[in-house]
Amino acid sequence: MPNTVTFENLQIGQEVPSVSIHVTEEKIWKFADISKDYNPLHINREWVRGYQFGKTRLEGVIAHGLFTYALMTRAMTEWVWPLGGLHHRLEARFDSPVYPGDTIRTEATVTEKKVVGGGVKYVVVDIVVKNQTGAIVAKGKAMESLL
Amino acid sequence: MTDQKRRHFDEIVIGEEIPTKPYTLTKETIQKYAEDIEDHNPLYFDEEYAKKSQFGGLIAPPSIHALLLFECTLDEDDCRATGVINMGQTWSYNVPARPGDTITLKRTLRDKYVKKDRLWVQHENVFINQDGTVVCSGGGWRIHER
Repeated sequence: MPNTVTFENLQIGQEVPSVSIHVTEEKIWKFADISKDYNPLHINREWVRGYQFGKTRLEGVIAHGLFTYALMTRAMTEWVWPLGGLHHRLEARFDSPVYPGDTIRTEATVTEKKVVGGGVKYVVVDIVVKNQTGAIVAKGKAMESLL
Repeated sequence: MTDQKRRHFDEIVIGEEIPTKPYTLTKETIQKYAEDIEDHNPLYFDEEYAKKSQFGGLIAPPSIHALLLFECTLDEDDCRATGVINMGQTWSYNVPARPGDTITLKRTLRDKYVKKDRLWVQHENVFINQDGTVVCSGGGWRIHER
């Protein structure tokens, strides 16, 4: 990979560096406190135990979806901002619960490049978030712009 | 507040603008949020570094809307209903939020439907700063218990 990534030398299929985070109950509580989202799914072990959601039976408290979303965002901004680019959009779907004890990691790949009329050079990045077993916990698609 | 004051699925009116309240972001709150998501980008912490950047000063992580949603909504907002499951979100970013910004929220519920025995609600939000500039906009899909 060249020392400096530009729109022109960026390759379709090129990987964006991964970021990860180890999840604990303490971190979930901290996120609840800072976001003010005190849904018992995230903070009440007794309430959530055995909670049935479709085919999924929750084993315990789970991380907020936006906790995972923030990790996906960090993967993009840590990559694009040092290149002088901008982070424009992220769509994410939360496929599986993230539990305390999980370590979740992003895997991101450039899938499209497009210059639009005003001259902005957009890059589309597909992102998958996996836990330590390799199971997918979230998927997404980001839109960045590069110089 | 208990769920008794939050609307049931059948009481939700699609398209109705939901009451909100403004919120002023401080440097301390931004930095606490960044620490809690383990994002130590100097753009959130180092004023000298941030001044020399493309952003010209300290900014908040783009995902700060995670905090803004609950700070700008009222206690009776459905987003606080017990057991609500966040299935996914999509957000677009226009300008970064900064320390000292007073953020207002325009919020509506865009759709609701029953699918595979679940109650889906789609919400839409626009965060605007004190200059009337859109900071970010987006929302997503939740599954409600009742």
